Amino acid sequence: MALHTRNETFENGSATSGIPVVSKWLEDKTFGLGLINISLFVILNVTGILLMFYYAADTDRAYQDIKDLQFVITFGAIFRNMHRWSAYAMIALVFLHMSRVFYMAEYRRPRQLNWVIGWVLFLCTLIASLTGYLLPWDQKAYWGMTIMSNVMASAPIIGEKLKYVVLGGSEIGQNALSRAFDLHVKVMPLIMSFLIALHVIRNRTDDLIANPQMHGDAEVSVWPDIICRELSKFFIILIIIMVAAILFGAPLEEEANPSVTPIPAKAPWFFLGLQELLSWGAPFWFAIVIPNIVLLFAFLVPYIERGQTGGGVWLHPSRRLQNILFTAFVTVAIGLIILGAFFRGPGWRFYWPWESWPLH
Amino acid sequence: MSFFQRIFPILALLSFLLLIGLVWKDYDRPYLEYQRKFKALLDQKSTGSSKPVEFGFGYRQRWSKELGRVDRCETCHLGLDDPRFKDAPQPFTTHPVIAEHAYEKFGCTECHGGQGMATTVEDAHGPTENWNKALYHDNFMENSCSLCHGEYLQAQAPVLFRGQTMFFEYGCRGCHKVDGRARTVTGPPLDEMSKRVKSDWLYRWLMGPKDYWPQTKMPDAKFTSQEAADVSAFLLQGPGPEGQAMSGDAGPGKTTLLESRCTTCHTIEGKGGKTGPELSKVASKAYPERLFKVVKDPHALWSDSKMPIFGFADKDINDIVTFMSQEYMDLDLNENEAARQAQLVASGSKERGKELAVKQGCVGCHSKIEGVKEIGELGPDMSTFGVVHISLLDFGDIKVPFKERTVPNWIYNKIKSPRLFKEGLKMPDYYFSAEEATAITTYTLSLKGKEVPASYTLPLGERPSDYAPQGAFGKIVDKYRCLVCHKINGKGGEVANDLSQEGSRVQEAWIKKFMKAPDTIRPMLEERMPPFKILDPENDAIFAYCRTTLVTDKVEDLTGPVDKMALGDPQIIRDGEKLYFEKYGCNACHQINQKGGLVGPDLTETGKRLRPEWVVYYLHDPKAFVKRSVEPVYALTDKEIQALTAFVLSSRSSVTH
Repeated sequence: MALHTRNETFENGSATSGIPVVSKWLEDKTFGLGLINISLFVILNVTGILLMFYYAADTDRAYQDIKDLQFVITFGAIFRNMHRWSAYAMIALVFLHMSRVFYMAEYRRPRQLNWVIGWVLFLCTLIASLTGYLLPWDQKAYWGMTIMSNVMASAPIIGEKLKYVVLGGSEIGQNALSRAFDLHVKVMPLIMSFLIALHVIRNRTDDLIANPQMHGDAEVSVWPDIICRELSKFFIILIIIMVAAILFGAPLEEEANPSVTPIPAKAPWFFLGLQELLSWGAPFWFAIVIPNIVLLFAFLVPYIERGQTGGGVWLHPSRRLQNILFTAFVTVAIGLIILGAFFRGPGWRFYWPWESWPLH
Repeated sequence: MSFFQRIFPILALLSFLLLIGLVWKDYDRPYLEYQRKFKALLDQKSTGSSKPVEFGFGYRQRWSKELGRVDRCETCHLGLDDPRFKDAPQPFTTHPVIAEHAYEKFGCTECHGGQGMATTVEDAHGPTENWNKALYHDNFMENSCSLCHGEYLQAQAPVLFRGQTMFFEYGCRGCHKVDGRARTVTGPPLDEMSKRVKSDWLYRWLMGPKDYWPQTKMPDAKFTSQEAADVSAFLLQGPGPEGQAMSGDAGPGKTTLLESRCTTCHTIEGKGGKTGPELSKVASKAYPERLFKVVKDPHALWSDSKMPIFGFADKDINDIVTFMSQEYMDLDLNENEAARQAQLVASGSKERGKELAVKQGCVGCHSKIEGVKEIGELGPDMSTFGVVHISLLDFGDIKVPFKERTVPNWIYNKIKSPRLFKEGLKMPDYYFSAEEATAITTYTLSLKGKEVPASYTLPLGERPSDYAPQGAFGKIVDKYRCLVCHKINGKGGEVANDLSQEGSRVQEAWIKKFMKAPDTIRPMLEERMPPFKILDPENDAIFAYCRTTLVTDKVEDLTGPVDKMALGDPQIIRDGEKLYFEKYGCNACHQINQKGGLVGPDLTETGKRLRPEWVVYYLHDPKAFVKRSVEPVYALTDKEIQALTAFVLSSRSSVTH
């Protein structure tokens, strides 16, 4: 199927006529973030399947399996490192992709539903990361999950039951591990594959709806040209991930030990912002109400913001208010994570990053 | 053609090259270097053999399913089984032979610690970020032995056993519980202190116990001057010494004291035994009235005291006490200083003293402290301290590099200098030497609270005996505290000989005479049995018990054969004499009529001392009863035994050499 380039999609129509753009270089660059995310997803699935060959979700042997992967299994350390770095990269890049889409107002008609699907995918990425975080069964995993399940437990009325369902019990044990493993390995990849397919196909379809004149002279052929371009970008990502895997080992702490609490116990970095927010006040408001309101807003952006101008380019002046609000949101989200990561010590007290923490 | 289309081939190539790089990185593991070195050594050692050396590269592991351990140490430690590598450098050195500890069954880390699953040096030996249980230092190696072999390993794990003994003797369980076991009675009860000791002495003692008695087991609580005065004030509440002042003769007192061989247990000016305290300054410590009571009946004052009841007459005790009061003064003591210290104590705060006594846990070793009841835990429970998590151990203000932040290091330093880590710690200082601290650390590390599968346990060593003599004999043993120095049926001390077979060994007349006036049997020994004032009925009871209970059939059954031996026959005696001096040279170690060596007992009086059956039995196998016996085992023939026995039993009358 022949497609026009992105620029053409937005060139006609009232998008940019007459109003100067903020940055000539930035203009309508997507940085291929969507493609990068798909590449990472592919890498995660392939390395994940390979890791599954040697991993059993049994509390008695999970940690030892990670040690085996690290020390004796051929390519074990490399695949594990690739898997971990791809996962972290994907969370960050999905967030950036979402930001990019907002700044270019690509959620407007007819792409409203696609935006929602995108946010669902972001949440799926977080869930997949959270369940995957538990699998090595080390201190970070165990206590990270402790914090997250306690956050869930602070929901009104259903909180404790929710925690019980998530853990398969009242404490983190074999049931929690099995559950996390099944979700991480079977459920999430399935749902995400389906949603990604939907997301991408919708994107192309929505291009056509927005620009009925797209059919016409074929300028670029998908095979081999577009595939070639996309594969190039995939290779770049693959190379970066492989180099990261060679140079940097994925972290691992001591084996999970319920009787030794790390001081302080911190959630995985992608939920650290939530943990930081939680420390500001009652869990009901700061862990449940505020995050859910933010989420609700996020989902409903296309239905709330119905402007007609400034789409298709970065930071169009006519969208100043929307951009400022969104930038504030991004700053706060990232700021909370940084705060939780570097400025919090024992008892969740404030420490400058260079201050040393007392042991006892 | 877009930019990305153009660079596609380059990227494809780059990815492929990187893939090769990944394969290489995974292949080139650090352990291969060691394995190549080993193969080179192996080739060297095998030059000359016809077959090519077989050596497979790759990791090696021992998987013990029962223990749940996977040990990959042999990946680099390749010469463990091969005796040719005894002198090779590590990591290839042969493992020392320690009984039957096959690697398949035991692995390595169960005894050595470390991270068995790792295949790199830093990770395997530890400590690393995610593995703190590092390899045990050689000094503490024996700590794992008790996991399988139980607690009574004396010979095979001497450091561990020493640590265990010290832990018991120094009263560590007074503050630190281990498996809920009772405290050791280490120190005397502290009741009526004001009747017992002088206040300035108590002040000095609390300021530094080792200054008065260097071998004391009491640790130094490092009191400040005021604190020592307060505690003294607290302990010295109550009336002073009662009774009349002594007036005896110092001269006879001195004689009695020297004859009584007090230095077998006590030190006088540093020389003597380890059982009782130093006596050369006792007059500046205790009131004469108290000394009288102690010598007369120590058990009434302290039921667990090791001191026997000598049975002196009151006049003799008076003389002894007078002598001690005059001679055993602290000559270095400045009178003004003493007066100042007494004044400090007099104005000390009793309430503060009681607080301090509670805080420092005196009750862990001493009972009968007025107003201080059982106060529960003073220090952490040690039952599983050997495997405590490192995050629970506070190194305090000391900057410790990461590699040295291990549990053994913390424990060793804590034991050696208890208040090292920071201000305000309260464990007192025992001034242990490096060896002693190592032994105790080893024992502490062995407290893992862990059990190995039943198929792995193999208790070794001798369990402590629960022998407790009853009846008349039991009372005598209790009165004279025989078991402080002697062992009977596995229970007792090792200062003197084992009496478990004494009934088969000695003749009646001799032993009864000996008990009244012990003389020298072994010239080499410094310790001597003190002369107790044993009453005749007691003597008879002792002998009756020996002859009925402390016997062994191995000797008793020899009565028949011995009767048939003509032990009085002069020819046989002369044969024995020849064997004694010429063939076997027994006079190298034994004396007869003041001629001969000093290693073994004097044999002059053997004819009166030992029963013939015993001599025959002993000559058959000197090590049968006393395993540590120095006497060589000569495999004598029956005729030789007969001759030697005859000679030795007659030695007093017929020696011509």
